[in-house]
Amino acid sequence: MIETVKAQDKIVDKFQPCMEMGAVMAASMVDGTVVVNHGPSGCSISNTHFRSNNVPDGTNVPIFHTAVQQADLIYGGTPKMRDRVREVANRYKGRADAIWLLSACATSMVQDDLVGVARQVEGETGVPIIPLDTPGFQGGYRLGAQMVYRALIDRFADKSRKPQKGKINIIGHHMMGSRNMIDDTYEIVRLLEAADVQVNVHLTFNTRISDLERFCEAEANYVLTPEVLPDFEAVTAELGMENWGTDVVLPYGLANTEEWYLKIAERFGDVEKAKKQLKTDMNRVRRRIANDYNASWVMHDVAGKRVGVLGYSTFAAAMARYLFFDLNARPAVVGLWAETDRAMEVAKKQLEEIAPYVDMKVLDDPSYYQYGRMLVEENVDFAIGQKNDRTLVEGLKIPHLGLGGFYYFNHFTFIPWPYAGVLGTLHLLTEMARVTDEVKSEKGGWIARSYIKRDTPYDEIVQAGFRGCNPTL
Amino acid sequence: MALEGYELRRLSEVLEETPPVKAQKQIEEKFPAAWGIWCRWQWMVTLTGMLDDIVVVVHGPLGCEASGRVFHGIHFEEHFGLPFLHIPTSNMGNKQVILGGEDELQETLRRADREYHPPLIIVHSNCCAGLNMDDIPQAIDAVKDEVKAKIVFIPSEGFSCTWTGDVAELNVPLYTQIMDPPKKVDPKAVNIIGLYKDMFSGPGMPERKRWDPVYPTNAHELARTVEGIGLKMHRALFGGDYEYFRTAPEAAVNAIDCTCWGYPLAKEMQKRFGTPYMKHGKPIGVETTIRWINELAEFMGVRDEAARFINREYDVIKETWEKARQMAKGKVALIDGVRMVQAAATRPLAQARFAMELGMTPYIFEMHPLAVKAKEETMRYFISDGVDPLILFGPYAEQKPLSAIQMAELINVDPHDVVYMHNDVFAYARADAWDAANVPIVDNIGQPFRRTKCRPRDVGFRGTEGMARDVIAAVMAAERKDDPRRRPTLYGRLRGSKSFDFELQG
Repeated sequence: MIETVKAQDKIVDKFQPCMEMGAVMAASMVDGTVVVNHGPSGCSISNTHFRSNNVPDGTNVPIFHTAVQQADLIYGGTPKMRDRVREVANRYKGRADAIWLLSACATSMVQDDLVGVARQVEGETGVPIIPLDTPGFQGGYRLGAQMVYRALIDRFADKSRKPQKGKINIIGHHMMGSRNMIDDTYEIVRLLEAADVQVNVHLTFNTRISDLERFCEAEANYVLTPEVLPDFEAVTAELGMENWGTDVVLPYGLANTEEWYLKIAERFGDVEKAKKQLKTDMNRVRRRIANDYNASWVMHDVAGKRVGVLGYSTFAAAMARYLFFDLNARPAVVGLWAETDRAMEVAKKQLEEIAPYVDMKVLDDPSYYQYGRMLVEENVDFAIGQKNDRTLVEGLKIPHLGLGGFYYFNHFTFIPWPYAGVLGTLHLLTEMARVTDEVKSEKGGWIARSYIKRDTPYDEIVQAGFRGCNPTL
Repeated sequence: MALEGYELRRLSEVLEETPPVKAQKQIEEKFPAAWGIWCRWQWMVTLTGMLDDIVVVVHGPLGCEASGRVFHGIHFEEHFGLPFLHIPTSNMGNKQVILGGEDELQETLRRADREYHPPLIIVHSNCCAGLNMDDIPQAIDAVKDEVKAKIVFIPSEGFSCTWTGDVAELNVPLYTQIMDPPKKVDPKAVNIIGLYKDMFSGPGMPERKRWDPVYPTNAHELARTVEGIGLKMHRALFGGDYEYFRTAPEAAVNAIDCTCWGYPLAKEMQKRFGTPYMKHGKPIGVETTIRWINELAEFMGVRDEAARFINREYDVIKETWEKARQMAKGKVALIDGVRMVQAAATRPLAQARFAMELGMTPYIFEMHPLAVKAKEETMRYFISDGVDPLILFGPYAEQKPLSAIQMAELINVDPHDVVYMHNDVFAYARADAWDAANVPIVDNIGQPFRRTKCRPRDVGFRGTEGMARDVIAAVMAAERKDDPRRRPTLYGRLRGSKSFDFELQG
């Protein structure tokens, strides 16, 4: 049974990167482009960190900034922006396919002239410059990302191209919610191609500006997020393109993957080929772990456990379903974060399938405080979230596993293997082994009853003059 | 051309030749292209985050919270033990930006007080709240009778200052609003101030806030020193809960850990509460530590205890210290003022002083002249203490990292005769020319920058011993330089163009 708990009234304390961050993330996945942030240096360094999400095995787009100061905001930062963009355009002339010019809250509020500067410098240098007004106060991450999609389509898509059956564009990779987005995308593409679904253009994932020419050759856009993407949806409506899949579960775990794969194959490809691929992948998984006592341990470690989940709406929903369907665990607390009602409703609908069989508190856009309190009340064994909430959760003495969020500072796995798909279950199970190792380990006993003493209380160290606290020194 | 536009200048000369940090026009002429990293908001929220049992209310849009949580939140909380910070925001949107968001701020304050029950709420403003000129003090005043928590406003608009600027000087004094004038002053009590990011968990902390850290901080070592000379540890700031912070002025004196963070607080506490402060800070090295102790001991009248402590402690580390001196003497200490940020000031100079004690000649690069200028009081302190090293003065455009090899060429020193002290997780490396296999690279002072158990990061006798031990280890590791199978590190091979021995030797 699902019990929905509403957000704390007027308390907004959640992880929701801003519009500019979303734009940077999407733009910096367009290979051969350069980003100029027109804003204070703090925005730029945050954007540079977020951009790291795209680096592993992907692209590394340069980010420059104008680092506006107080005087620029008083007298206007347009001249500084013009100088900066001109300098970058001249430096990258002949090498960059486009320059993104993005505003922050401060420069948007004083209405520095992005469009005028872009026109002027593009005219001077011939480098396409794409100005986007992306202040954080206008909204969250999805808005910035979808402005980039729209700009790419407006400017570079050849609208005369005709749709071809079996070709789809993939949209919204950065909004899937997985910290393993890059390898998940590779796996999604591999599976689609195995079912005769051809991926035409990614918005955005190692995208080249030249890819955009064929954007309209897709018969539909497979949109990985249920969030409302107003500008993108408007332009695709104008083009008569279908946006498909916003309500389809993400392919994490066996049950979710099967549902996802067969739906998408049925709509765009070959269901029989999809089934064959599922069996092939399952055979590989079976060979690896079916007779492996360690894997049996892990699956039994997780089974029956009460788990908290916090994350981006459909990613959290997919995780909750994975925990219940694949592992027979109990997703007791599920915190769903979303920017729009549609995303929240889709995630809740995806949870409805398990609702009759498990008691589950679903938190509607919770604050960290509300989520933390609920984990305590529901006495969970461990929690799945992202690195940002680890200290909240482990501060409550609850083991934590970060699977969501962005790559940067969040995902220190350098082995290229997905969470998504049937093969991804091996990675997910490995992650489960990490957290259940924490759940079941009685470390207090090891320390209290260790024959060799290493830890000595601070006061004793002081009395001992710091010597003798560690016999190994 | 190598390091075009750069030259070696004494610290004192750089200080004179760099325009004041607020002289934006002159600065932009001298240091073209963007400079500055992080912003005032990020600094201040992370500083506030060192306090326990408080709630931060951010007046502004939600996105800044994510920027705070993505790096600082994770790094500071996970690796230093800062508590998870609850940051309800007023969630400004278009409407509040245009029409003002004071009502939303007031409502957020009421709700935060009612639901979180904190003793203290600190309000931080970001760019939007600064630009639309919401009257935040007035908004706070309007709800103060409805709210049980004490509310303190620390302005922190991102555009108003960068990490390279004078953010500590601007903001740290404002935190004395949290403090009360002392009802009594304990003549034996000492505060250690100037902590940023390092969480103290030792004496003076309430019992439930104490823990035995995996990595003792510098404050742990300084507190051990304070107690070792017969004084009483009172407060280590920033840190602790409201009650702990509030009562800091009950100490007889403020002793300094990091001068950049410590002086602004010390000066304001002296002004508001009459608390005197010591001059010496960041004591890395034996003689420096002795000066730090003696200054405090003389002021507090415990010279005999201090002499006994110094003799006892020096005996413990003497062997390591002498060995390090022997191995390092005559070398060049090439100190990286934080490769990607270039905004550190106290630590590179403290390392230079340490290097001088070991008989090395220090050179500093990648320390932005603006960071030097912004921390003028710290610079003057080091110069007065005989530390006026040559530093690389130049434009530092984009704050792009420079080549350590080119720096060595400029100094005209063989890389093997260098001890390279980097201060982050981006050490310069190029296999095979510049790698731990042939250049002594001191690693434990970078971002992980601590030593497990018993030794702090770098200060005091134990920190100095740790530093000396790392210098010995770095020099030893680089002794392989003449071995054809010296085998550079993975890190160096990744950054160089050649990866394998057959390429490097070919």
